[in-house]
Amino acid sequence: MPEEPSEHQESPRRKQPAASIDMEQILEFIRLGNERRSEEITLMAERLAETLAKQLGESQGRGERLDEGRIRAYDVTRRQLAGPFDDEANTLGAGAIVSVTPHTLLVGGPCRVLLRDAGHAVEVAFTSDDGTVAVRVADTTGDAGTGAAARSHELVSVDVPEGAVTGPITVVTDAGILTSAFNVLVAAEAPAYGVPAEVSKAQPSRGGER
Amino acid sequence: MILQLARWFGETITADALAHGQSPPVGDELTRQSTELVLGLHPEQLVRFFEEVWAYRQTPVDRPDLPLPKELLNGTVPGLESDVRDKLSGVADSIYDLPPVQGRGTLSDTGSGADWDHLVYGYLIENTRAVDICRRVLLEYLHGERLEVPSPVTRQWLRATESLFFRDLPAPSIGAITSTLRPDFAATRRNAFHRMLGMDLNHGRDDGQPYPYVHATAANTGFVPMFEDLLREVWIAAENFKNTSGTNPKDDAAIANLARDIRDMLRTRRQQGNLAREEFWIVTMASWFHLILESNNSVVTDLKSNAGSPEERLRKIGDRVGLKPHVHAESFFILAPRLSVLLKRIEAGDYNSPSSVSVLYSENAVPPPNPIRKDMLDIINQWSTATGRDMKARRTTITPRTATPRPPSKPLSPAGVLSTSNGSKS
Repeated sequence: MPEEPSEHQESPRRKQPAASIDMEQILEFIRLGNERRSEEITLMAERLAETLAKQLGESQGRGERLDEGRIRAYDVTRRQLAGPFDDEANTLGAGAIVSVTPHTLLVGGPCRVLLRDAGHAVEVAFTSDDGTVAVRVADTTGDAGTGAAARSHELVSVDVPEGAVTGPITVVTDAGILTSAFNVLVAAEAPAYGVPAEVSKAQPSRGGER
Repeated sequence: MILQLARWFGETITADALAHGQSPPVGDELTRQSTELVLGLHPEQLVRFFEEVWAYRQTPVDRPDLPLPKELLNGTVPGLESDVRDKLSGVADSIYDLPPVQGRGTLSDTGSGADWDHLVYGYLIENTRAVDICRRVLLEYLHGERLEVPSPVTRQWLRATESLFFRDLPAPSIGAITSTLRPDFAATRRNAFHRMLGMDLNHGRDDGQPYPYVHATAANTGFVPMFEDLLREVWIAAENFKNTSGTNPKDDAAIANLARDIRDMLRTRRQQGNLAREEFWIVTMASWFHLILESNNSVVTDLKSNAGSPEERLRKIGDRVGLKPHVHAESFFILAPRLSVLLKRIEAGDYNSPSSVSVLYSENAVPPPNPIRKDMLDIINQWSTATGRDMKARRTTITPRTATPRPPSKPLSPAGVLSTSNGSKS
């Protein structure tokens, strides 16, 4: 009983402020709860989106790779069987090293590489005893001519670096890396007396190759 | 192979022009020049080139007919090579291993990766009547002077054409597919078309009679309906692949199923190298005549048939010799290279699973555009034009008319229809 008034006394004290606090707390709780939920929901949504994006990216990546492989296989066959007039078969033409001149390269001498559908050349790497020795490309498209063929062809001029030996050459372009399917002959070094440009650039007559 | 050879010659023309600081020829002019380089080859060089193509072929397991032994193929220096390798200066993607720009490093040629068109290419080119019209041109030139006197290049073409395709080749030649057992090359071609594709050519003899040839029992007579089903399914998918809501009738599983069935059907005819030599020689002949029609070269000019497209040139040449090409020759010319590549990829099994068929109809989200889809749509359009059967329409199934149900002699009461009896008597 004696405790009742106190309880009673306390009760209004507690209750009154409690009633207001409770309301505020409730409102605050709801607000915070909503915020928390919102944050949680946001976090969850972000995680979900991240996961979905990752999965989607992975699946799309797989799909693109698969499709690219089949498209490339189709394009290779189409291009392989195409005639000179079949422009549509050359839309996705794979780049190629068309030719390397002169016939035998001399260390320190000039080397001209004709590329087709290969993009813009950045670097030419020659075979060396240690692996490769690379030269930055400074001069391109100088003599690539004009017209449609010139757009697909690029003529690269570099000097044969020290250490280059006979072997395949690699051309790095902004579209990829091309390696010749044939060996490029490199002589030891340029003769001290120098070879006139018209001699070093001369090609052997085809009839006399045998 | 003839078209590829011309393309390689085109590469040398371009490279030579660039090397000399000149503007290289493009388009029709490049085709004309490269065609005339092909025509400049001696028939013996061409025969030797074909031997080299066969010796350096892709997938020899599927095409096991023996090539010439190496000793006979190359001989001793100076050897028996065709000399084509030396002419293809700097063409990196030819069939020859060592580009001659680097000199003749070994005594004899080596090579790999040679491939040629599918038999369907030969079928479609022959359907234009190019072979029959060119045959008449040869007859005119060889038997009289009604046509103008041929230029030297045309004379080379006449000699090579007669030597390669209108006579029996020497026994060792890979193209020697005529003999006393099958003397008629035209009948051999029809026999191959029927076996592989289940189709005969769209024309018979010149007098309108059916062309006589041996009809094999084992033939892919189901090829056309199955292929047309594939085209229909691909068209439906091409129309609907972007659908994001509502029904989507595209059916990848059906496309894959049809592609697999077609593959099985075609490969069954090729078991152990069946029809390989025939296919090689038939498509070689077809490409020989196709190449002539692709530019205003000396042969076309001599025949006063210059025009802007192969079907127009063929029509004009046909007028000179009194034989009209097929009215859908244009469709056949468009179909030939595309269908050839498609069937080769189908035979390679590229579209055998539902997950791999979307490349047939879907478009890349970013450039470059999907070339397979473009070719498929061309095939669907041109096939519809050439056959008169619309590949964009759904297949209609004709069901036999059912007999009108006879009224029952004694009408049943509703209770009699609906109630079920447990057998007990009421």
